[in-house]
Amino acid sequence: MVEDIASVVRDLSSLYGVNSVVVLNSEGEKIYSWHRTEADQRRFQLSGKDIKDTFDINKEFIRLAGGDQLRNVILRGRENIAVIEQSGSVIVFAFTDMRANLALLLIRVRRVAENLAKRFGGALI
Amino acid sequence: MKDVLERAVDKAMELGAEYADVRVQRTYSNTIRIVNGRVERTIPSVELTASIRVLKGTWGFSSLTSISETDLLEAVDKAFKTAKVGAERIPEPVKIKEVKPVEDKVRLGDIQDPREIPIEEKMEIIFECDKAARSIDARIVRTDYNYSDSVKEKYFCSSEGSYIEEIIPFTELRIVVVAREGEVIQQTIGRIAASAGQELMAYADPLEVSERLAQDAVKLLSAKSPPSGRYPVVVDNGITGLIALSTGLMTSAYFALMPESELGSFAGKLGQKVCSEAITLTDDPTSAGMPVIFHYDEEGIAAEPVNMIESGVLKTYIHSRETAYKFNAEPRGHSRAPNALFQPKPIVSNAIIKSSDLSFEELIEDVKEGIYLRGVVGATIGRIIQCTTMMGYRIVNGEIGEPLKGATFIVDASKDLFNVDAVANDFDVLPLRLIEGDKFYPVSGGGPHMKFKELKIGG
Amino acid sequence: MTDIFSIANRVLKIAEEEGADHCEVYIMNRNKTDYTFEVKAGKKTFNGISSTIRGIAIRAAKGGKLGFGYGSDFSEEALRFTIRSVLSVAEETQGFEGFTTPKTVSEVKGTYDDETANLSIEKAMELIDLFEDSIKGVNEDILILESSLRHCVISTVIVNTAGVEVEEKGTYIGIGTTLSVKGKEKITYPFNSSRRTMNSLDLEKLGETAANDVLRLTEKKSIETGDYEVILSPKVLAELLSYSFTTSLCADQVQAKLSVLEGKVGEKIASEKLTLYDDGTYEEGLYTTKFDDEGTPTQKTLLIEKGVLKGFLYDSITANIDNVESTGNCVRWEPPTWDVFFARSFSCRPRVWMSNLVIEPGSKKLDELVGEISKGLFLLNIFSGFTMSPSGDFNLPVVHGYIIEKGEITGAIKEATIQGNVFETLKGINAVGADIDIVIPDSTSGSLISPHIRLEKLKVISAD
Repeated sequence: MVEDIASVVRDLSSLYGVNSVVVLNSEGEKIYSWHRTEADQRRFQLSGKDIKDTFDINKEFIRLAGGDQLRNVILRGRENIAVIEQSGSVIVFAFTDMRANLALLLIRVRRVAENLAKRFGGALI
Repeated sequence: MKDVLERAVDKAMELGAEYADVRVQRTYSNTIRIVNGRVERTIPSVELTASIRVLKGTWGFSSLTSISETDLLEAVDKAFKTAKVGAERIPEPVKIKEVKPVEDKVRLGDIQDPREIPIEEKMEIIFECDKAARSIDARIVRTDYNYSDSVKEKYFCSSEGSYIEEIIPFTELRIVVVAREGEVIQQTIGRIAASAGQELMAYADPLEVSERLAQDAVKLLSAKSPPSGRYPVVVDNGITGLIALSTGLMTSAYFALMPESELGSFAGKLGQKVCSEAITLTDDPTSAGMPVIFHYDEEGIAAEPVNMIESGVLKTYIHSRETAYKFNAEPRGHSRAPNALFQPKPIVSNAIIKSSDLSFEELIEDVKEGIYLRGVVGATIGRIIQCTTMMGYRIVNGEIGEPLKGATFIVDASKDLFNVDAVANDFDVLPLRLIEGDKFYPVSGGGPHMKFKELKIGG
Repeated sequence: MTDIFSIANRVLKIAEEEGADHCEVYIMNRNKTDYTFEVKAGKKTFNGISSTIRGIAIRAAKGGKLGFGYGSDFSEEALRFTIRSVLSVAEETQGFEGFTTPKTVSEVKGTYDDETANLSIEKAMELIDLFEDSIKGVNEDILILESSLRHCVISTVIVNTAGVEVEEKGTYIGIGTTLSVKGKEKITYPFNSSRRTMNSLDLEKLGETAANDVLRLTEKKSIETGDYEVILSPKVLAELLSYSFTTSLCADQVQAKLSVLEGKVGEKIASEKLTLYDDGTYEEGLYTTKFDDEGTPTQKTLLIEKGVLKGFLYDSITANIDNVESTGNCVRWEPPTWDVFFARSFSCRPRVWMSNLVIEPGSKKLDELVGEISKGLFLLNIFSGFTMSPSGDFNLPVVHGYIIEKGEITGAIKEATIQGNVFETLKGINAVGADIDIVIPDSTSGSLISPHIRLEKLKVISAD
């Protein structure tokens, strides 16, 4: 199963500038994570709960601001960009540095999330 | 570069010119067209254009695609001779407004340089958008994506001592979606454009735009045809932008000096009321985020925003150095051309109608029976603006009612612009292209929703 | 020119270095001048422009995929950048089997002369004076709002990895004016004419024609809506034929099932008075060249014979698909490319298109064509036909035209629109004139070489 997820996620992990990709199930548990280098792995301190909470808070945030549906969360740092997107019961998190093609990144995050949700949907527990 | 350009203008002055300038532009561009998921074409190009302008009683202009010293000096000779011979046959010499010389280098800025991005990545983004649009509904029969990006390196050198370098990026995506059910065909068009690099494709969210256009096209299939007749009409920002652009073009002193031409209606109207006092029209090539941005125009003059029309009164034309002299005004950096092969003319960049503080709801609340028109599918501009809109809605007793298919209407700038009785507080921009010869250049028109007391709709 | 050959061959070399299996280089050099006198705000002004534009177009193929790119920067860097980009955008192209092989180019006449190529500004001023004098000589009340003289020299070089190495140069010269009449300044009449060499441009005759036209055009009368017998000038015919009709004659459109004429070879599609061919070799034709835009020799291709469709136009790629020979109609043009003489450019992707469309003249002189009409119209100029639908339906305002009553011109048309379908219209030709003119349509590449033709009936809608 992990191999199957890895092959779908390759769309993201193969993109220049992407350093980390994490996949969560509907409970916020990490079911897959990938880091480009060991250093990236060591530096990464976010838990699955951290990522899910951030997404949920922003869902509520948009609702309280008068909007409707949250599409994705894009966080811009000085050197990095973090993207969180949900599709069905799957949440995908990607972390890149500024060299990445942001337009293409957003397209691929969405594609990966949709593909994972379609393929594994309810099986991800 | 500076040396060879300075030698060229020096030569012109040695021959006896009153003024001379050289423009050089090197443009790297990529265009990609994807129709129904198939690549129709992808064309990369690197274009080098240059020209010399010499003033000796009148203008002599010589353009070329080489920047070798020999070729440039030959062009100077030709331009000078042309000016000299031509000047002998006209009654009045041409003069230009004095300006202070400028030296400046404007860098590319913090963008994602499209030259550094592999073409496959650009194509992938467009493929995804195309796929997303087509998968909305089986009734979508055609998706047409026209993408292009460019980086233009500009160089300007004048005999007055100006030397300017500026690099300008530009990215645009034009999307057409066609839905069909039986004999009924409906089309929606979206345009994303900015003086920006690849990051535009992230922030402008072309995926979302594509899906929305597809959904709208399908909804239009079952919409009723719009009525014909005279109605109070509210137009959306895109249509306001079209009107702003057309009116803005007429404020060019170049056209105002040709009263018989299509765009010459504002000839002799300085200081007069040319439209409703609800309209204030500005041209601004400096505002961040707009489709057209430049720091210096084609005559090396720093660009500034200009208010051409204030509360309906024509306050000023937009000028080149030549027309500024004629009208005793200041040229404020509005001389434009598609590239260095064309002579510069004063032309608008982003023609904006100012918003008020009226909300959209307040704008329509007094309309008992009217039409709300949205989007531009096709148009011709001039003193008479002909427009086919994407869609419409009925307005009934101050509320938006049933959706309608797009309507055709005509705005006669000399009459109908006096019929605008209010504008709203929102803002959006419609990027468009102005064609000159075999090239085009980007322009835009923008503003708030506008209400016409009455307009004739063709149906 | 040898200088250009060495640049072109260098590009072939770079392409091979970058991994191309096939490569084609097209280099075009265009030297243009335009001298215009125009009356603005009551005063005569002058605008003199000259330009030298050289550009290169590269088609390269690798592993069966073909790409296209162009540029006007000839530095080694830019050329390599372009070639790399071309190879990276290469796609599967049905019908591409390598570039054209060398063949003997066509013989053409009347397309270049040194005198025209080296026209000095002083000589140009003399020619403008001659033209203006012949206009004023007809009637002193004629106002010359604008007059212009333009000329152009175009040289092209094509080399490819199949061994083609060809070059050609051509000259073009044109005169233009906008006239009005004192007291009737609301009516302005634009007139222009172009030829390949100075000697073929009869400025005195052209000036007199323009002057006589504008005098007649000021007597405007309203007409009623209805069907009229109509004489079409070559210019009007060009605006009707150069868009949907020409598109339908191109093999790529036929192969994509987008042509109205698909499957109709051998069928009668027009009046038997119409014989039409595409001729890239026509002497002095404005689109006459020795070879087409991929190096195939040009030829005369019969398209319609006495009303019967005989065939279509091909380039090498479409010819391979249908297993026929190219008709020499590879053309580098795309909308909205526009040029007063020659709309083709290095920046356009090669495609199938017309060169000179030629209509075989008949035997009736213009006064006969007019004299035989009891109640009809003579159309001089209409709005450009590029807005017509692919099916050939048109709805076009008349810009200038005359009213014919009892065989005589009795006035000018005030405001009207013509409506119809091009394919239907061609069936109604009832006479073909004897004197031809060479004209260029407003919004496309190619020229029409044709006499006046007369239609049995055309629907004309009056604006009144």
